[in-house]
Amino acid sequence: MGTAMAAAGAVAVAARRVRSAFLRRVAMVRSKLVTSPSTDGGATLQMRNELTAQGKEKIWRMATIGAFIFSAQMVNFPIGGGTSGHLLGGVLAALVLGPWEALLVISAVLGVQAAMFGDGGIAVLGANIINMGVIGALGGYSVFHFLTKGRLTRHRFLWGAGVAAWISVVMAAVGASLELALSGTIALARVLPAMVLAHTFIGIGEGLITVAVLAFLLKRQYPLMVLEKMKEKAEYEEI
Amino acid sequence: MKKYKWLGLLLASFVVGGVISLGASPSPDGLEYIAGTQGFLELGRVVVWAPMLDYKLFGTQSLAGIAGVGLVFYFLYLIGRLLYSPRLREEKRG
Repeated sequence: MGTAMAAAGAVAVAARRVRSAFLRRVAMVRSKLVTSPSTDGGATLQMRNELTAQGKEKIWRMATIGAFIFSAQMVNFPIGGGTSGHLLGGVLAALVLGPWEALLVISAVLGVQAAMFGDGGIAVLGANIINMGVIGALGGYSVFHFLTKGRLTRHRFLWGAGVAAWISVVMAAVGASLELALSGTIALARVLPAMVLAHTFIGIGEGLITVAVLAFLLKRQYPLMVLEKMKEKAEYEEI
Repeated sequence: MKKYKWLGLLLASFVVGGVISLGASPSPDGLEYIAGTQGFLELGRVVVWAPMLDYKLFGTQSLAGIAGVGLVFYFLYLIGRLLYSPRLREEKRG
C-alpha cells in the first residue's frame, strides 16, 4: 500500500512537472512572437501552429518510445543458469524524452502490462513503478549526469548511457530486494545477493540494448532530449 | 515534419512485439527465477483475469504483442495530448 501511494505521488509530480515545463515553453514562444509579430497579423495563429507542431512531436516521441519499450520488454534474452532478462528501458526513455516524461512512460507501460496482460499484477504495480520508473528512470538519469559531467562527445554520451543503464538495473534490483524484505516476504540477507548477482548480468544486456538503440537514433538524427538541452548549453560536441 | 520520423520506430516496435518476441527466451526472468529458488514464488501468484493473460490473444503471442504495442502507443498518445496541449486555461474560458 505504501509503495502504491508513493508511486501515485511520483507519477502526479512527474505529470505536473512535464505540463509546467511545456507551459513555460508556451509563455516563451508567446513573448517571442509578441515582440516580433508577423506582418499579416497572424501572431496568435503563428504561435498556435508552432506550439501545436512542437506538442505533436513530443506526443509522438513519448508514445513511440513507450511502444518500443513495451515490445522490447517482450524479448527475454538468456543470461545463463536457466534464467533470462529483458530491457527495463528507464535510462533509454530518460535520455530520449527527459526524466519525468520517462517516469510517465514507464508507468504507462507497466500499467498496460498489469491490466491487459496480467504481467506484474495490479497489486505490485506501485512497487514496479518505484523500481523501474523512479529508480530506473530518474535514478538512472542522475547516474548518467554524474558520469558525463562537463563537455560531452558522442562517444562519451553512449558510454555514459550504457553504464548508467547497467547501474540502473542493479539499483532497481536492490530496491526490489528492500521492498521484499520490508514486506516480510524474505530476509534481506537471502534475497539481496541473489538479486544483485542475477541483475548484474541482466544489466549488461540493458546497457548493450540501450547503447545500440541510442546509437541508431543518433545516426538517423532523431531528436534526443538530453542532447537538445546540452546543445543549447553548448555542452555537446558532435564528432 | 519530425513526428513522421517516429513512425519508423513505431513500425519497428510492431515487428519486435509481433515477430521478434516469438524468439524470446522461455526461461523465467531474474526476479521470477529468484522467487522460485528462494521459495516465495507462490506468495506472489494471484489468480487474475486479464484480456491477454500470459501474452496470448486468440491463442497467439504475435497478436498479443501487436495489440500491446498499439495499446501502449494509444494510451501514451492520449496522455501526451493532455500534457502537451498548447491551450491555456484562460484561452479555454475566452
